[in-house]
Amino acid sequence: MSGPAMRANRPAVFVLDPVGPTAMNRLRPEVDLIAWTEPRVGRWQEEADAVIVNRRGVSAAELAAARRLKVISKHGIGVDNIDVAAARERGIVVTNAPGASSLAVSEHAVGLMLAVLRRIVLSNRLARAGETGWHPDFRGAEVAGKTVGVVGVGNIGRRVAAILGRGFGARVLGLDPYLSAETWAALPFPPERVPSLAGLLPQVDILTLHVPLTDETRGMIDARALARLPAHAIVVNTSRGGVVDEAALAAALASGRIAGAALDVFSVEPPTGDHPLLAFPTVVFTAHIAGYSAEAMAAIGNAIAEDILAVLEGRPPRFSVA
Amino acid sequence: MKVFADVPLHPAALEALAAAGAEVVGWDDPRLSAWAEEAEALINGPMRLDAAAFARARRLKVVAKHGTGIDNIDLKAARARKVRVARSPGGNAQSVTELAVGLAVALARRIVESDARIRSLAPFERGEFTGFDLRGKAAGIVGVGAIGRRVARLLAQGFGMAVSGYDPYLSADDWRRRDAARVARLDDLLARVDLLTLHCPLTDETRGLIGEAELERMKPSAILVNTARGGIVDEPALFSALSDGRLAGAALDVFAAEPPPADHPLFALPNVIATRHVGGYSEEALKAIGLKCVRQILDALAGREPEDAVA
Repeated sequence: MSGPAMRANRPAVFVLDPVGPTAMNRLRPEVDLIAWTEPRVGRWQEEADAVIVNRRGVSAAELAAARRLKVISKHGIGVDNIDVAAARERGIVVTNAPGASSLAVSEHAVGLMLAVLRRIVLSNRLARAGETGWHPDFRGAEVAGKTVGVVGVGNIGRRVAAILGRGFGARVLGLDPYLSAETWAALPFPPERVPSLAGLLPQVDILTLHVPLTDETRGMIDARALARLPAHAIVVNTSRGGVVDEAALAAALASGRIAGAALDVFSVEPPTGDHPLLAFPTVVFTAHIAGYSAEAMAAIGNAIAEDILAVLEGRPPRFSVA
Repeated sequence: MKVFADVPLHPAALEALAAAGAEVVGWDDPRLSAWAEEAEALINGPMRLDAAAFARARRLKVVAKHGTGIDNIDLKAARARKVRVARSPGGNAQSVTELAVGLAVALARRIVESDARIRSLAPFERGEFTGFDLRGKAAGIVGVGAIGRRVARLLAQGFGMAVSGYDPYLSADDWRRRDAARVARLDDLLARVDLLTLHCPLTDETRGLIGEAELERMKPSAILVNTARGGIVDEPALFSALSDGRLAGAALDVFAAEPPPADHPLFALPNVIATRHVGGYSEEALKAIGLKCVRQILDALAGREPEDAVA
């Protein structure tokens, strides 16, 4: 049994941009699956019962023409580029996979910290270029005994706190207005709670961001915030590009008001050649891959595939944002 | 008093030497080449001190090793010429530990490759940089001394890895105080780990310890970190294992010959991270070790026993 007749009876799931194989392998036997590489993908608004998106957003205008659409599935966590309100209005469910990549992101954030503190990327570049002496910029700093500020103590922030506190012996401060005192106290490694960003910043040697991008967090780390950090501090951003004012960060780095940064996310991705931060040899960049471990990809793929099938069969999904 | 140093010294150490009235010739000073004729004291980094060097160094009274490993120093020759040698065991342990862990995460998560791709502005798919989680994986530590035990602790308690160690010199009592399960044979350790990290000294016993046969025993998905000494790993064997896909990646802070030339074969491989022997190069370690070297020199020159003397 195959061909158009069979296909017509099965729901059409369009994968609008590249994702790992897990979700597709899980869905393929049960649905009509159209990958981003197929010409037919251009007809998703007419034909899709479900769409899977990764980096790509979904606008209200696109939804207006998507008459069959029942579910938008984010292959990841952040739905800031999906018009969730418009989806809700049209009765379209938006699902994501919260928590599936939190371990991967937390380990990546710690790796970025060490890469900045120990000049790993710079040292690698100069070693491969045949640098023979000790470059003065190689001198690094240890995490042990330092103070780390974790902004956003959710699934990811709390893991970062535990790795740094338990593993490295760092002092960990946390900022998160949305956690109750009881939840905070029950964390496996509760950071010292700080009530305000302004109070947190002057105390930290390392600042690491783990908040979603919302109206409240957009531009949160701006020129004023950066000015409150000690001059030897570094900033690590694995959350969303818009949380940090990139021009202000470049200015702070250029004037030595902070010592370094690592960014997995940018306000526009991927960054273009005129991005002001690319000029700094001491900044470490990764390609919005903090969640890209094989384990996380498999967990996300399984979670979103199950929820797509649930919505298409009229059952409630495990993870929905609208 | 003339003190020569073939490593960069922390400003605090330079101040302490100046306060003691010492004239210092540093690692980047062209006069360093005259060290053998002029030095009363030497703060020693990678420079080789063999019998011939000690024979030439007629004024030399003390060598303070800026670090732990003294594989470059002929201790018998030092003793024969009554030159005191002291070292700083453990002074850079936390610094090396954190670099080793940083290199492990950088390899597992393809950080260096990804940085290069972003800077090149070439297009990419994020999936190209898919790495692996450390939590729940197996780590193997070769040499569970001052550094290896800290690495074991960090990987076990911080990252939730299952850590095993190989170290023929530890007693059963020592093992009870380690965050690593004892594995009696190196071959057994190699076969089970996702991350292998080396923390043993370079001796006749460890030279070439990780060669073709050992690399062959490792999982093709495993990664190797060497922040110990270059001679412990057979570099041509490592090159072929990495290029054939029999090993997923390697991070090397140390090389058989240092500094490694720009055309080192391993530099052609994208799954290699190379750093420039910066394991001990943290602010904290440089300051602590630099000041300790100064104390050891001043003690030896004053006829007192220097701390951690080995000759």
